[in-house]
Amino acid sequence: MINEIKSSQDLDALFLEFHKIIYNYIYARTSRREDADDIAQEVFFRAWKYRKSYNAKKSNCKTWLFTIAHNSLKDYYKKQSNNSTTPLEEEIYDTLPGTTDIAAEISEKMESEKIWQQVKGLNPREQNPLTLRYQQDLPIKEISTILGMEYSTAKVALHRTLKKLQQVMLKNH
Amino acid sequence: MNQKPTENDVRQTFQRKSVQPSEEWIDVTRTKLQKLAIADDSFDWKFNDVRRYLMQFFIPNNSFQMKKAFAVLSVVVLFGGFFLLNQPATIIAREKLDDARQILAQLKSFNQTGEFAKVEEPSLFPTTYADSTEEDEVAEAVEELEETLDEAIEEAEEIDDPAQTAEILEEIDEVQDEAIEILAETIENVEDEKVIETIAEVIEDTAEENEAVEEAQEAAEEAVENEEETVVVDIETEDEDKKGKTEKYDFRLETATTLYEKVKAEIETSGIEVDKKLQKKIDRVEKDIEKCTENSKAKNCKAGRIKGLSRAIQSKIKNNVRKLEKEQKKNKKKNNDDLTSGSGSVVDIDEEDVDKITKKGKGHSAESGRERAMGQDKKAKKKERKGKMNAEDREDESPSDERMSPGGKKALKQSKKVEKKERKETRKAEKNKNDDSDITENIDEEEEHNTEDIPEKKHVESKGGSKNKGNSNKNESTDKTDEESDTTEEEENNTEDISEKKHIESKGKSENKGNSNKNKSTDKTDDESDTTENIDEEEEHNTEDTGSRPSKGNQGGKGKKK
Repeated sequence: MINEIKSSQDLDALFLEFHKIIYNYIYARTSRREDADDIAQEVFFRAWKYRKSYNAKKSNCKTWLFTIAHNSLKDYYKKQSNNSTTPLEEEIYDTLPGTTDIAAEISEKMESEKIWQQVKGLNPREQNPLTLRYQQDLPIKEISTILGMEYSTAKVALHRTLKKLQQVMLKNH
Repeated sequence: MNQKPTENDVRQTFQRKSVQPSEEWIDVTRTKLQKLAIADDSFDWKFNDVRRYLMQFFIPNNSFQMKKAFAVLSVVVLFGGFFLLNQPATIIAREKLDDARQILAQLKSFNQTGEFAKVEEPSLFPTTYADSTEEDEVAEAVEELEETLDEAIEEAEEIDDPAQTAEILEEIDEVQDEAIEILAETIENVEDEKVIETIAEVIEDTAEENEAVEEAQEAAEEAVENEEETVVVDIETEDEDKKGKTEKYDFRLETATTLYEKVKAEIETSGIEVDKKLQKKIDRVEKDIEKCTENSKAKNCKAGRIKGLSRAIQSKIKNNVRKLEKEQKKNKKKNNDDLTSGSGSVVDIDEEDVDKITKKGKGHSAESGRERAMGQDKKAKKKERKGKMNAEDREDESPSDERMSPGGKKALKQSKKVEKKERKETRKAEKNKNDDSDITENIDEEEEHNTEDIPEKKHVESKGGSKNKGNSNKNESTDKTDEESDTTEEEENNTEDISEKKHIESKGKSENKGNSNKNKSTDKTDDESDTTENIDEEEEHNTEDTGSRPSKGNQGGKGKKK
């Protein structure tokens, strides 16, 4: 656990520990590698810049980094009014694990893709808790800290978003 | 996967969508971060090092020492504050004089610019001084100047030490002289009637205060010579009700021209050489009078300017005369000293020198001699009066009071101040009461006396309203008892009164102001015959009732405006 970020070594350790999850989170939100590259990099630059604001007693390093990532994404959305999505094919084949049962795999992928499309159709506010919860497996308490909202609000928001997703999926079927 | 996605389905979807950042990106980002961190690290080190180095000189790390440092700081601040609040009056007075000098410098430059603007030069947009909106600023500056000078005088009054008082009063006198001179120039350069009136008023007030200041200075110098420990200066500065009065009577052409004639006569009698500057002013006044005689209602007829300039000229002449008198006094003293020490031959030489200074080859006129003699007589009388008063005071006081303690002197000063305030208030009240009665009195007088006297009488009355306020009520009782006989006397001496009145007027304010026994109260309650009778009495009292002077401020023979 990193208690404080003082030197270049601390920063490097921070990067090695969290760069994957941060990158994934950002990619899930932007769906573009180029944007994910830039924003993830920006997150670590900001982490160094605002290193003095990190207080290990208040929150852990992961939550603090996700807060930075969340704010960076906000700025990103401000800049980009149109939230473009990456071509479907590329994403699918990029993420395909090697399987033997091709038919089952394809059907699963198709379903996943449908859900993914519906997730992408949600607005960024709804996407945030969903991503943090189901991609990063973060507890609701940490999600509320990252998003700067009350615990109950975060919980309700998550619940509503999931319900909305289910309703949309039902409609489409 | 069923149609309704569960939490697990969503989780799986997200996990399926998770990607790995490229190795290239990881390397690039790591390098960038390292560079950034190292660069900041080195800067941080330098900055912190320097900060720590500097801090050890200013704020000690030890908390006890911090307290000590704060204690020292607060003591310094307290001392500073105490010093600022208890600044000696001399310093404040000097600051005020500096302020006044600055305003004068502004006015001077304004005068120069005005003169430059008036030069007829080929210009696309010919502008005159009169068109400038700066005239309002001039009026403001002039008023501010007067206020500043008043404040300086008030500060001078606070000083106990006679030597310092004399010094400050001398400085005030110099600034006042300069102010009158510059204001006289300014009044020539402005065209707005209101601004002219303002400047004329300020010239008038400053000239009056200047006389009082000079006398107070003399008194302070005497105190220094007599090795007195303290001197009480009481110079009344401008009062609001006086302003009201001048506004009420406005600047009348008659009063302005009368004043000028008086000044002209003074120039002739004093025998003072008129320099170029003074001559320029005189010419200007005559020019203005000419314009006014052509058409008194014309725009270019500026009665205020005539009055202001005349007063400035008068003040200048009086100053010169006073300087000469001082010189003479000094020389006489020298002569006396020399005589007592045995060398009598110096007398002739000194007198010759004085002649040179006073006449510059012109020779004495009989009138100037008389004037000077009169001046000296007056001074002698004044001294006599002072002496009498001091003697009376001494009789009244116990022997231990002669050398008062500093506390006693302060108390005396304070009581004088209170007295001054009370006097002001009573005067104001009386004035308000008598504003209406003055008007009716004037009408009655006009009916009784010849029409020729009207302007002169108005002059006297207007002065009576504003100047005679300083009278003590000592003569009230005598006036009341004499009331009946006054009326008969008045009829008999009708012609004499007129001539005497004229005489008083020509003497000017300076003489009238100084009388502590003036009978202002009777002006208001008695009928118009008392007005003239009082003037007669005034003259009598001037010589007889000298012992009953109420305040030292009036000893100067000038009283105070108001």
